[in-house]
Amino acid sequence: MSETKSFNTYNHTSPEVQTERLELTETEVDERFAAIVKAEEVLAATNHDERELREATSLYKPSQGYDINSMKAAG
Amino acid sequence: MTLTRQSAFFEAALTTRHHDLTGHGAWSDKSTQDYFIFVSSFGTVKLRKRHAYPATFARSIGPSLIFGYGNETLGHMIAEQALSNVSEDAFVSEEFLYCTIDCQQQSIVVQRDAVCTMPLFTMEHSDVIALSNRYDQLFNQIDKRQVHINQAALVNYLLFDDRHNQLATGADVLYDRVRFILRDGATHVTYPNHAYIAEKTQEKGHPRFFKEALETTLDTYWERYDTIGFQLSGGLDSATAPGYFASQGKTVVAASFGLPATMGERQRAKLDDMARRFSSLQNHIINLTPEEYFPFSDRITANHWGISHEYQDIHQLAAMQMADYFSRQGITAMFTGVGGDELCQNITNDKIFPFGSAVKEARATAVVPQYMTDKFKILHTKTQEQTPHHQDRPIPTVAYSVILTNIGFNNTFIDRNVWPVAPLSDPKLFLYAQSIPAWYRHDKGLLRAYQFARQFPPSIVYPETLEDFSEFLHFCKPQVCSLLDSFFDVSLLGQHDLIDESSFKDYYTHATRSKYDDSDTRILELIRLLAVEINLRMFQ
Repeated sequence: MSETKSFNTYNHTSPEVQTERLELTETEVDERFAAIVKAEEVLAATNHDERELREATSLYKPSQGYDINSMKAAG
Repeated sequence: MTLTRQSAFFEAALTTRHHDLTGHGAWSDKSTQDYFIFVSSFGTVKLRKRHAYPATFARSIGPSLIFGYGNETLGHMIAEQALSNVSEDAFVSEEFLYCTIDCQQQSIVVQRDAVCTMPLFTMEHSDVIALSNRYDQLFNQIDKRQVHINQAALVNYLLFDDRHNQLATGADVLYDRVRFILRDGATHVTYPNHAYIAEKTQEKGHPRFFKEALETTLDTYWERYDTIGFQLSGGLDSATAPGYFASQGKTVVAASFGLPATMGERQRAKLDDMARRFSSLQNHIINLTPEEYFPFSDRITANHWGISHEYQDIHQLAAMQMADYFSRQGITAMFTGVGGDELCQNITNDKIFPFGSAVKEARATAVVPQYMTDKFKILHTKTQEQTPHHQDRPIPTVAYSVILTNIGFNNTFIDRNVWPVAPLSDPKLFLYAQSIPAWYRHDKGLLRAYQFARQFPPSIVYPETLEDFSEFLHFCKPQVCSLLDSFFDVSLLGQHDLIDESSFKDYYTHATRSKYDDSDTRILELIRLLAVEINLRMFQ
């Protein structure tokens, strides 16, 4: 499907995680991941509308994205 | 292009007709350079020799034959215990298939692991028991005209793409962790007790450990498997492992199914972004031209329709090309992105299996297509009212949908000695990720956060578009329509009064002439009808 997906659920432009460099040290990668998790924790504690959306369970749909004979690419 | 039918990786054809339990001696070793082959009066076992992990093994001791693949010690230890006593840690630690056959006692024990990389089918018919990783090979030992069609399976497959029950009576699939036993002339399949996902909700994992858990899994797999290649789709999941290994300075050999047209352009832009970001990534693209790679094209090229269409990957010809490419590169294990969706899924037990109440309700109220006859509609109603015999089966340790993918996809690679591996569906990683609160898993947030931290390309981490096979399959419609014309002019489904041929012709003509609409999934429905019709003819 060619739907547009949003990806603003954590603040990836926040100073803690922003960098222009591609080659990061492992420590820097760890720090970036930890910063994202931390930002998510804060969001989880404050944004109750988003919580309802994110914690909803989905229905098993065997022919719509769950196996190789669906439209989706494997991975 | 010439295609030959591949023989099975594992095949056992055994007869239960002898019940006197005497005079059946031992196994004769007829192994060749490529296969373990053991023969006794009880039956024959054939297993491809594989030297890379998971290596195969087979040896006889008097009347006993022990064979399988992967961690033999682990398989033996588990097979010796009552299934209810086997710890979760044992099951999720490594790959194995462990089998013992005693030709004097005429007994069989087959113990499966948690990941079920290799499909394994069984068939009981008259006095024959057959096991194989290839569904079509089950029928070698029996008179196909005696095979009947399971009508409930037919309804569930056609309407819901549900393959829990097999079209052919007597056939079954051995899923994760099950034990298949033949003793005293009777077969039993036993299941472990645990419903893992449900039990994992008690203790919450913290998302901060996800990066470490993921990389530990990837590092373990890198050490475990030899000469690894990567399937790369241009999506989030399949990018994870090659991106990580490239960032660690490893050379990454990858291959992609290249989509045509608009989606193909967008996909290639993403693959280019990956190659620019990770300089050690070498990607080979197999261009999916609709004229060559349309569904069932492999069967036309091979001039053999076969019997395995229920399980056929509809992109099998392309998968063969990819497997051949990896094989030429000396690759013996291919890492895929399979399991990425499921790693972050948020579903309850009730919504996983077709016998969950939510799924049953959805199915009961499903609108049956107009071209189905009244007889089919009555069958549908009756089928949905029946309680499946496997209602008490446990929740898989890897997502059930991953096992379905394994069944449809893996044989093409296993046939060519390329072992498909899905690191994101590693049972330990899956169970840990499922214990993390749903908040962090939503929209694959854990994987996106990880890739963002590692500076994966933005087009991978937060794509503006998603590509799939819908546009490619749209371009395949002329070929599919031609196949439908040839199979449904006079069809067995019509003769059995399950479809109205005239009405169906109108339906598929309209469906195959319609303009491209990415939400129109009728092409998959038509492919399932073709698969069933082909199989019905094979049983004639």
